[in-house]
Amino acid sequence: MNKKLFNNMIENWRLRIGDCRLKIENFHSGQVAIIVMLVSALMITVGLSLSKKTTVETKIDFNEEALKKAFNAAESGIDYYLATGQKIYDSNDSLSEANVVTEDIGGEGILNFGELTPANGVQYFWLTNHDLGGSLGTGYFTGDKITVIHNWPTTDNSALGSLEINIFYQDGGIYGVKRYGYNFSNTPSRQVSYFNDGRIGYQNITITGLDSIPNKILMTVTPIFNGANLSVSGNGSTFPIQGETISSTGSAGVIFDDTEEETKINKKLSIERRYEIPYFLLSGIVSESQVLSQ
Amino acid sequence: MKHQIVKLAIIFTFVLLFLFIGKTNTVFGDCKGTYECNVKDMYGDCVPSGNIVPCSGDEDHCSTCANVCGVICGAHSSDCWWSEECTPDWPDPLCDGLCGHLVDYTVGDGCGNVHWCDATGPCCSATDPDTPTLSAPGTGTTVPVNQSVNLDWDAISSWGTGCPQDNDYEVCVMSNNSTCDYVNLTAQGETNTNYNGWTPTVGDTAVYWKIRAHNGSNRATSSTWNFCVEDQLCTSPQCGEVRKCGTPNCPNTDNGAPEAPTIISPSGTSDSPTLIAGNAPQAVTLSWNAVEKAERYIVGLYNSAGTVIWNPTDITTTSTTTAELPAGVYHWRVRGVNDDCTVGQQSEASNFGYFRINSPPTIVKILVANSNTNLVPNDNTTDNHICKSEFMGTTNPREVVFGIFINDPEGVGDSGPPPVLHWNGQNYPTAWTGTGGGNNAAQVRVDYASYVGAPPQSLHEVTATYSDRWGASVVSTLPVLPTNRLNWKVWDCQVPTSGTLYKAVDAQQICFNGTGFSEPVDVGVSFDSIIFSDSPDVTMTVTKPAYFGTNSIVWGKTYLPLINGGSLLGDIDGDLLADVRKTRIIDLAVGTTTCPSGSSLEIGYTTAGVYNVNPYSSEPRARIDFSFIRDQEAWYQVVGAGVKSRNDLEYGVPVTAPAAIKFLTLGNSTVYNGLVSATSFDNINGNNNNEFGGPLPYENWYLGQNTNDDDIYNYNYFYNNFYVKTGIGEIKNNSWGGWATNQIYFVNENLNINQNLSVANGETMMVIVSGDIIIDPSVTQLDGIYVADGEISAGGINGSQLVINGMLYAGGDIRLYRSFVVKRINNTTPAVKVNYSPGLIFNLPPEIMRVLSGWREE
Repeated sequence: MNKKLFNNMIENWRLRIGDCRLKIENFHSGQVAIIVMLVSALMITVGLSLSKKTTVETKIDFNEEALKKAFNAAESGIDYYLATGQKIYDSNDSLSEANVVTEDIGGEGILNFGELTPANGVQYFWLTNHDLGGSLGTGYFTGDKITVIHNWPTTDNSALGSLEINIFYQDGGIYGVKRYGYNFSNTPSRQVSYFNDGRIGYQNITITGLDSIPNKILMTVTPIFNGANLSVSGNGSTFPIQGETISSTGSAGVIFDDTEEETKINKKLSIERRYEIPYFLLSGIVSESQVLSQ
Repeated sequence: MKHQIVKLAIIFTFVLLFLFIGKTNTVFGDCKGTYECNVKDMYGDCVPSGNIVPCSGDEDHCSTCANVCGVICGAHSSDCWWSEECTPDWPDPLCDGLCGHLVDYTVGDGCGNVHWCDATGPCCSATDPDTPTLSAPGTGTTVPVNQSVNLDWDAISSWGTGCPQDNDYEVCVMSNNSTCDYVNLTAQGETNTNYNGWTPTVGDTAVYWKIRAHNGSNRATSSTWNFCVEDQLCTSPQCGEVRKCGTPNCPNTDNGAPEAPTIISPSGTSDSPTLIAGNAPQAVTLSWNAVEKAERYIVGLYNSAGTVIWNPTDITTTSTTTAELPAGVYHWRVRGVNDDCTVGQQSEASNFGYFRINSPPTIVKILVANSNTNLVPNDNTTDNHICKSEFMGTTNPREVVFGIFINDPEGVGDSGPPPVLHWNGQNYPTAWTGTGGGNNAAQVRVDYASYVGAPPQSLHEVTATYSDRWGASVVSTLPVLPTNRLNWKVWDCQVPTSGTLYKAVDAQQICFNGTGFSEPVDVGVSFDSIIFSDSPDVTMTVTKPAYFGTNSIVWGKTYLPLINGGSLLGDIDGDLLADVRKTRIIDLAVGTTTCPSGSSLEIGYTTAGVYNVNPYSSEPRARIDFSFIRDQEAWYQVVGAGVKSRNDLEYGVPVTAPAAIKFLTLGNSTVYNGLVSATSFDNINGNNNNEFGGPLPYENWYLGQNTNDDDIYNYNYFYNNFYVKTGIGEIKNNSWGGWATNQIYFVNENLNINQNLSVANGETMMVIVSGDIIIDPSVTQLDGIYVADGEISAGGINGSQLVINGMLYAGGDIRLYRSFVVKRINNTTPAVKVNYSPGLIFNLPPEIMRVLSGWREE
């Protein structure tokens, strides 16, 4: 609601109050005076309150709008970056904009995405880089061993589970996969048949002999029985870039006509852009229902 | 007044009482009863009779008269008391007179008096003296008449104890060895050991003498010797004298060599020695007649070499018995000897008598050979039968040769007629064929071509009888030797045979415990025929669905059972809808079961030398069963990855699959196999051995739980994220064929794949279908990643395997039930094989791998 309209409203109320006052003069003295006074007081009170609310609403409406614009700008900034690679975004109405900052994920000796991989879910640790286009690069992991840490509390057997680990590689254009399985719980109901039991009670497993695997591409880790906060260590060797964190700060501002007051709202969004493949591609046959032979 | 009267009465009474006591006897009269009448002691009391003798003239006193009591006659002694237990025997002597009283001694009479007895001296216990030993003349000595004879003996060492001691040698000379009539125990004192106080006056062939030692109490007598009273041996008159001799010119009637004796037995000639009964060794009694003047005989016994082996010279009878002689021919003769006048006057020798001690022959071996005279060894040491291969392989399999070996210790020269063999009531005369190893050999050839033995055709012993030239007979059953026993069976070699085809439940076949041999095959297995292949074949009578027989096969032959037209060069089970043949042979006569390892069956022995059909049972019969595993249902296999099902997982890895591929997932050096997971597993071919992964060193990972990710991918996801967002992919309809590879296709309906598609290395292919993907039976190769919201199925039959180089993912079921046209191929080969191809993943457009995550708002 604008100021003019408000003033109009006040005027209307004032006029109405005047009419009422005139009518009230026709009543007897004393009582009439009182009534009048009361009504006046009432009217004044109501009138003043309405005046404040309108002011506030005007201000509130204005902030939300800006925030939304800022959010949208931030979001658009990310989209714009994803689409064009540009890191500065201006809205069409020039009322909002966004600045994008990217940061590589990985490139260190330890990878920890800080997220829970649910049971039967897959965590992807790329062992080669991706080029700008997202294709596989040739910056392969050169270490000869990788330690996978599950971070299950080893003192609580019911919290332990198993890990299924795949390492994909390519050798002369032929793609292959090495698979490893480990049980960490000593409870039979929390063990996969014929998984390696040598790490029961331990907090990690080190896959060795990786120097015999050429051109390692991807290591997937699937926790079974319990979700896990997985991390991996290159044991001195660094992991390739796993992706990037894209942070976009959107801002939106409004200048009031009367006061020339300017207000800007900022909103920061960030996402991670990494690389994954659907989990079912790790197996030969996967059915969400049944696998039948007849 | 009255009181006084009473007092007085009392006094009076007491007075009377005293008087009564004092005058009891007087009052009650004389002694009676056991008391001596009117006999009283000093106190005037009656006394027991016999215990007192009143002194004469004094009836009032005890007396010592008659030594009854020690009271001085006429006086009273307070010592004279009577004891009821004491009966002194005075004046009987109290002295016992026994030995042992070395000094005078006293005895009491029991009445306090003492009597002295003389000492008796120590007691004496008499012992025997030593037995004297005679010295001369010795027995047989001749002493001259009319000359005193010196009888000498040895002194003894101990005379023993005499009571009293009175030692003497006593001489006894007897004519009759009974009474000492010549010298009657004349005492010679204890030191004299010679007596010559007797002179014989007449001749006596035997005079007896002995010496006795006497110590006053006991005696010991020597042995008795005798001597002859003459100057010559009285028992051997000479020169015709009856009892005496001694003159040099006596008549010569007893002089000179006797005549030659005549042998009585054995008196055989050299050509015909007397056969001594019994077997060597034998003792032989030689007898001859007596001849005059011969006091003794000399016998000479010679062996067949003429060497004297026995030569007794002092035989005084007309027979003698040799020691046990071994087998052989002997001869003997005898001479008489007259020793009168001149010792050693021998007669001429008798004729020789010949005798033989025979060794009986022994049947050492009875053997059987085939018609080629090749020996056929026995079974179980003694058993043999005509169906053995050694017989069957000859030109005349029903002809055999029996051989017999006879051993005679006297050599083959002792042989008699050839032995006769006997079998099952038949006699087979043999003919000598020569010698071998010192044994005489004979044989006979028997043709059983027309022999039909009465059933049951049993084992019968071959026996033999034989006698040597001397008639000593022998039978083969005595003695029993391992080598001379032959049990022989002649039979038709036919083995009635029947059998059943079984299907192994759960593909388990263990012949020895009957596993897999319990459930006959059903009609579905299509059992039609079975031939036991050999020359000639035996075609069995088949009773469907599972039975055959009863037909006869030949013992000893090797057959290869061919089922349903099977051939020697191909599949022996023909078109039988089953595989993995296991065979079991049951000997129905004996009850044993054997499990041959191969398909060929030798009816008879197993390779281990054990019978599978015992030929020696009375009616050999066999049951030959076969166990099969029905042709397996089709199955699928994944190479290089795992299989995951959110719910159930059916698979069909059969037990018939080769060991190297008998798994649901296979690994290799490029692509390891992976985890197999589902909520439940079921092998449609019954092989529930949890063979989910292999072979070693590749893993057998499996888990009976769902390990599918919670994120379920579907058509819309891929459509939006691939096609919409990135513009990747191509929309297609259900028009399979000619689709280019290296593409992602979206089909928003069902898709029927009816042509092969291969993807080159380095490329990719992904087909995403919102409905079902149906792979036609005609498809044999399909490369790529296939995703369906509905079902993915590959069914039907094809002569070739369906190979999918890629991955399958479905929101619905995945049904892989493709089978081979020839169902048997399912036994060894998966009809569908999925070769996991990770290259398809990494050749996908990179855009589809990029994901956004981790939204954060600050």
